[in-house]
Order: sequence, then C-alpha cells, then structure tokens
Amino acid sequence: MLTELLIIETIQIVNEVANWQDAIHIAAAPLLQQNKIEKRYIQAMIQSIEQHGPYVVLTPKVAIPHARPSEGVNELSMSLLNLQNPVQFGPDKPVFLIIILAATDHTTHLQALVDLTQVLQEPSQIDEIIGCQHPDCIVEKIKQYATKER
Amino acid sequence: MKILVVCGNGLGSSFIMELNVKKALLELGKEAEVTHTDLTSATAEKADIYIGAGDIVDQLDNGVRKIVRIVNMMSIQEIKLKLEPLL
Repeated sequence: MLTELLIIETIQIVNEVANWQDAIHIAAAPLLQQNKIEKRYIQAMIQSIEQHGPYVVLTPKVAIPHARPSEGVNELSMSLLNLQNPVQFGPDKPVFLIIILAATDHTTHLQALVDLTQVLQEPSQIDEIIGCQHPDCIVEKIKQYATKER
Repeated sequence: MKILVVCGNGLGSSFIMELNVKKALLELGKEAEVTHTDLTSATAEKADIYIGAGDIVDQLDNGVRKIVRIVNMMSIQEIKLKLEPLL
C-alpha cells in the first residue's frame, strides 16, 4: 500500500529549508495541490508538534508529521520530502526525511504504516533513501524495502 | 500485563511503535496485551506500562504509573532494553 501512496508525484527532493515548519509546508504541498488535504491540515500538523514536542521524529533523521482525520483530510494520502541538508525538529533532532501522513480514519492507513516500518527498521535503508538524487530512486528503494521478506 | 503505547493523535507513531513493541516482546519471549491510543484517552485508560516518546509520556507521569520513554521508536533493541526490567 505504501508504494501506491509514495509515488513520483508525492516525492520531492530539496536542498534545504528555513525551518521545520517550512519543511512541513513544502512536504505537504503536493497533497494540497491534489486536494487530498485542506490547508488547515498543514496548520494542524504544525500545532500538534508545537503542543506535544518533536515526537514525530520516530527514528533519527526521519519525521512523520500528521494530525487527526477531522482536521482537513479529504483522502488517505502520504508525501515525502528528502532534504539534502537536515532541518532541526528540536534540540538534537536533525531530520532529512519528512513523511506526511494524512489518514481518513483509524484503520485504512495501517497497512501503509506496516510497510513503512519495514522501510525505517534499518538505519542503512534510511541512509540509502537520503542519498537518492531523484524521486525515481526513492520510489525504487521504497518498493524494494517495503516488500522485502523478513 | 497490559502495555499501552501512547502518541499525540493515537493513529500514526503509536501504531508503528505498537508493531515494534510486539516484535520486542516476541524476541524477549514474553507475552502481553499491547494497544495504542492518543494522549488524552491514555489519561483515562488503565495499563501496567505506558510507553511512548518522552515528550508525550512525561505528561502521563503522576508518580504512580510505570512510564517507559523511548527515543528511537524504530529501535527494537532500545524497546527491549527499557521494557525488560518491567516485565
């Protein structure tokens, strides 16, 4: 399921961003353009981090910003922003990969998250994705890791 | 034994971590009920162990609850290390 959500159209590679809020805005832009989320969902993700702290940094170098389905999600979707230079999500929380999650309820996105844990389980796999210079490369790596037998 | 995985919204990070807590328990050869929820619901839910990112679970710490603070939610190793003494 992850490979249906993270596709060329939802993956971006950028050199650097001004701050973590900026990173979330840029990362979510493709979903906003495709009307999968509303603008208020971006604000909700930012507010959630301001309120709870940078817990969305699940593992070093990777953040998964998200908010509630009721805060402006039109369709289950995900997008990914790869930063060549990291942005700090908190003290000592440098992030290279921002993966936006927009869920419509509490269940339909779970398979995508199961796939995502396969991708993020190995630090070396995270580094391989960060090293990609083109969205094609990221699509290919995600496909490879998400479907790997364990 | 009930382990509650907690995050801000109860639908993203806590689910991913629930998967990893289950993997950690399997590797430790221990059994427990593992579920996930959001911070607000967690305050009203009884569990033997509350586990999550430090930013989140610190808000549940009332001096009585058993709290486990995880830094790297993808690290089965860290989860095992911090859970084992409490099981």
